[in-house]
Amino acid sequence: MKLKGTGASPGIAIGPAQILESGKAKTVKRRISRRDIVSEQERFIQAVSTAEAEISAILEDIPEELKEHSGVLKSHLMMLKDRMVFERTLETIKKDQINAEWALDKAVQHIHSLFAQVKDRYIRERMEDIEYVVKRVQALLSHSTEALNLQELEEPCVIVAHELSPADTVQMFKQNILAFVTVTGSRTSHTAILARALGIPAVVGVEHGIDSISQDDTLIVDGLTGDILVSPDEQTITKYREKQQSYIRYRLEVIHNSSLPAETRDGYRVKIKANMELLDEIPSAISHGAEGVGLFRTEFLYLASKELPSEETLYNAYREVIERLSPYPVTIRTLDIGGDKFVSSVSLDDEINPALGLRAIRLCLKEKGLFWDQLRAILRASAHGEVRMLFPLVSGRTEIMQVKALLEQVKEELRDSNVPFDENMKLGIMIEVPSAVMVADILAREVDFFSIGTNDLIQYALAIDRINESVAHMYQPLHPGVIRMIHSTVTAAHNAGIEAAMCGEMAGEPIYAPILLGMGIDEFSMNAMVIPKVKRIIRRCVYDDCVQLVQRILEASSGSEIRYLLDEFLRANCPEEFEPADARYPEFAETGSPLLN
Amino acid sequence: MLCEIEVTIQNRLGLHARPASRFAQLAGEFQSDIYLVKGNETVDGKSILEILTIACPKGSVLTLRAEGDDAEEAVEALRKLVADCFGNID
Repeated sequence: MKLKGTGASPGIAIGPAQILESGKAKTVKRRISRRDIVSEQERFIQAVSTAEAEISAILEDIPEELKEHSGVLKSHLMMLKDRMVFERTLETIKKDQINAEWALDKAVQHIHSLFAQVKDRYIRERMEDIEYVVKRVQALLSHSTEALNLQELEEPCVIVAHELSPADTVQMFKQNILAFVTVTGSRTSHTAILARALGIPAVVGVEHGIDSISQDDTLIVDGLTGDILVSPDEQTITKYREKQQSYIRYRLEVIHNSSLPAETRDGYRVKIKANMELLDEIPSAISHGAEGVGLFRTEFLYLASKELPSEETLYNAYREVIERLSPYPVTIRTLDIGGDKFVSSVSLDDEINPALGLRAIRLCLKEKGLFWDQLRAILRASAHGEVRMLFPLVSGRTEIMQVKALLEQVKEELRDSNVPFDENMKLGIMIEVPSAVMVADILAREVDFFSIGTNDLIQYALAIDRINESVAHMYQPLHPGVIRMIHSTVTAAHNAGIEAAMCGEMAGEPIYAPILLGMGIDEFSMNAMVIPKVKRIIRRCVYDDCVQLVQRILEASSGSEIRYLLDEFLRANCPEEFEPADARYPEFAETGSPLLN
Repeated sequence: MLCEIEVTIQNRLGLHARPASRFAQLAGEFQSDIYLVKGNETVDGKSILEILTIACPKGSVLTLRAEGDDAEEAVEALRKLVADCFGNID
């Protein structure tokens, strides 16, 4: 039987289930007499201070690896003594003449009703924290022995629970835990974060079927896909043992490869950088061996709130990325919004054809106030490390000149008020509109680098909407038209003495690496997860062979012919990529690439 | 004495559990009553839970008010805490 949840911490575990009971204990409700009020209040105060002592003890004992998560437990301590929990319960015991359990329950229900109105999901989820804390107090009040006694686990096992509090998870650190499976939780819940910090596979949010798991059932937990297999047959176990090995090999490879340069066997070197959007992605970019960020998407801050982010908000976010990545450079792409993305703070008319409508640089040049704040924020951030600015969806020289004129005004304003910024910040444009490819030689004189955005370029060049199922199969990155466009863009860049980068999906597709190398792409920027894989292919290639491959490919008459030539090349140079035993487990799951399946 | 200023939440995830706990903790060190006002909602600045219920994402502008003998010191200390992203919390 197979259950499905959210993969919250990658890895595969196979082992017996250890079920932790945590059914919601029924609160005992009883009325008390006036003379029992004080003793009832005392009983509550006693339970709270015991709970405090318990949490403090866990905090003191917190392992070094988890120190940074101790803040959560500290906030639990504060919640215990919060007016809305502590004083309110004491008051309710007195006012309503009811027992402590009931009064506490009432206080929680009141908090619940207030939290239910909070729109911010992240804050609403903090109701979980209050419940963990209260549950501990309730257990103490009712002397329940339900509290998880995790010290007794002897055999390695998979923990199955309705929910786990951060305190539970921390306590399990030294135990022989293979994986966590919980009914509640999301990728951002504490259990998930802690599991990732501990490197233990976890699947959370298993809403259906967890009751069908019995104690000691053999479970397979896939922390990446969120699959849980209950009592699988031998064949399945064998298959997952292979996947497990493949994942372990992959992890080792990441560790091994991440520090190696992206260099061909004959010493030709390219830069490999990461694409990123959220600050949380920084550690992963660094651990996977990125030499900087080749594409920092800036839409998130605009989409995250109802109001437009202030210059200060943007500046702080950019500065943090830059400082944390330093000494590596960060390429910040200006707002690429409109089209399919919706930003509630800028009212956009409904467009019949948004892909060809008011988006990206066009929108920014129209909404100058919006653009001004972002340009100021990026420039100010450039005082803290190497920043390159990248403009999306440029179709011709006029737009570049408009952007540069505006940028000059912003710089002037900063100089006038003595705000520091990098006077020599490099400017680049995305090459993703076919007209930009045709005039790349003209554009190359105006900027310091190109970055090819293959997703849009392919869509516009082939007139294919990838979302449209009836034509999606015609979306071919290896179409000779696309290949020639990329080639002529790189050539135009090099003729003008500037760099050609690629930050679209094609750059992160390991099998395309030989073609891109042979064309002379100087910088590959991709999802951090695939960096080790792309590096591995690059390190197996000989640059001159790649150049020859490209020469043959440029003469090919169809996408399938190009694919054939590429396969032949890969088979000769990177045979292990075709071994069926290599399950390519993490990569295809992450990129969803049909080619690696 | 009454002291009142406006503060803007700077940290990326807003005034969530950890920043709120630091705020309430620091507020608790002062004699004055501390309030946070957002729109027409006023909450006790010494209560982490009340602070959480006004859900302040990054960029929110709040009024910080203190009433009592050490109102001025309280406002200054809390203003600094907010400006420092609650001690560099994400």
